[in-house]
Amino acid sequence: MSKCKKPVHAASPAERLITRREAVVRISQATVAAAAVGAGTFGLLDRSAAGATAPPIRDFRRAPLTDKTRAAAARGEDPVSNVRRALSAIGGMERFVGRGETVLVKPNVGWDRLPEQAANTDPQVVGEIVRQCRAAGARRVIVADLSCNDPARSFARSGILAAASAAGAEVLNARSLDLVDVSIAGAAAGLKVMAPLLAVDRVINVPVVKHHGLSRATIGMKNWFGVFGKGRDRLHQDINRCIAELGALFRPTLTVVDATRVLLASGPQGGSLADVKAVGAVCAGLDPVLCDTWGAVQLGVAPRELGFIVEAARRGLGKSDLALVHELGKA
Amino acid sequence: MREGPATVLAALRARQGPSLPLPARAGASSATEVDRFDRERLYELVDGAAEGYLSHGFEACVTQTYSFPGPPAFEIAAEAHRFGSATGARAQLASEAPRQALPVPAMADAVSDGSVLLVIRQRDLLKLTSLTNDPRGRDALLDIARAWKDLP
Repeated sequence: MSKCKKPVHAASPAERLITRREAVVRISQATVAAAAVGAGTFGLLDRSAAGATAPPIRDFRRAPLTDKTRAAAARGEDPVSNVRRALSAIGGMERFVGRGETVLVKPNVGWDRLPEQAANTDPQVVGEIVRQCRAAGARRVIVADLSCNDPARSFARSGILAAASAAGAEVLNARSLDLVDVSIAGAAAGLKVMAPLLAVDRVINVPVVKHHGLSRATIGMKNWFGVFGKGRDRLHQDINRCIAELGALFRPTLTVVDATRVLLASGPQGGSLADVKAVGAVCAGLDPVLCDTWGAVQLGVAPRELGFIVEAARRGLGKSDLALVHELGKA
Repeated sequence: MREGPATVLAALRARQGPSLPLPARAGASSATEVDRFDRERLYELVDGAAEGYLSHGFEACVTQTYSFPGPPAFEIAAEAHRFGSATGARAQLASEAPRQALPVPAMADAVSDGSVLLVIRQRDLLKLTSLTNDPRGRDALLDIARAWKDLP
């Protein structure tokens, strides 16, 4: 199991930029080199060995799934207030995070975009979740993602580096994250994941709701793409089935869906401010399918039209009945 | 028959793939190194949007971020994509144009909504994204687009 390294810092303009793809290539090269040394001993490369000995992804759930904890949504202009109210409605962060625990917060920090462009999770939402974890007694909170664009620029431009750091989190990106083997079945088999997934006690998924060119929407279950290293592009083939598979594979402690601003078109990277709608809402819950169902509605898409929600519900991973979301309304 | 130097230069540039103007041509400096993407690596740049580009005949892409002096300084991300045909480039523009984009006055085959500008030259598509709320970003989009249109 790999340790987490030092927090990242925003890159200066003159600094050599090391991207996620460079990082994963280096890791892959190191892995190949290590395997080659092993091959010298055993005479051949056993490609199945890593998968056979690698640990599985743990079940990070803590609180029981009840009607009250399934999902609650809060609305208003202040994202911080929305996070607090939604979490409070499902029992408060202390119900999900124990004293002394280490928590991984997984926002969407895929793109070198401003918060106003709505391609990444809102930084205020991420910051407040970190504060809530710390207040609940978490010993350590890690905020991590494997960005598509340059990682240092994505974390800096999104505002998440500053917001999460100020709230007391360690911020890790592709420059500072180790990637490790895990035992995974299905389309993601063989892909490496960010090391904190194997080292933490709790995981909180914090996606942003936005349009996606292939799946029409990216919300919570799709956000798991960001924990994988090189080769994750193959998950875009048969994307709805793959998203549902990830919904079965990852069992987070909590899902907090950010719909502060919603990118309605040209996703996932976006760019045009005209494509962004200020929705001003946050949903927190234990049912990832219901959270995605709520997110789809904020995007203006009928959940039944999203193949991954239909498939995830069919697999019994959660409910897609919007009436089960406890709508708190405006503050 | 001998080709003129300009013709030869243009042919060589075309074989090298899409290109971007030097930042100084648009009154900017370079905020990032130039990066290049082929069909295999495109997903690293645009993730789930890659399939759309590939379906329109994407061949190659070059990217760079331009930094404009302040105060406050601001940046614009530039991507020049090459497609197999002008038809493919136009199809990508049509699919990617912001919902409120309008034709850019005095610039052929260009649309913008002030924060994103898309323009076509032959079988290349230039996409510019303003990474600022500064109103000067709108003019900077046009400056880069004009410099790109003027490339030999």
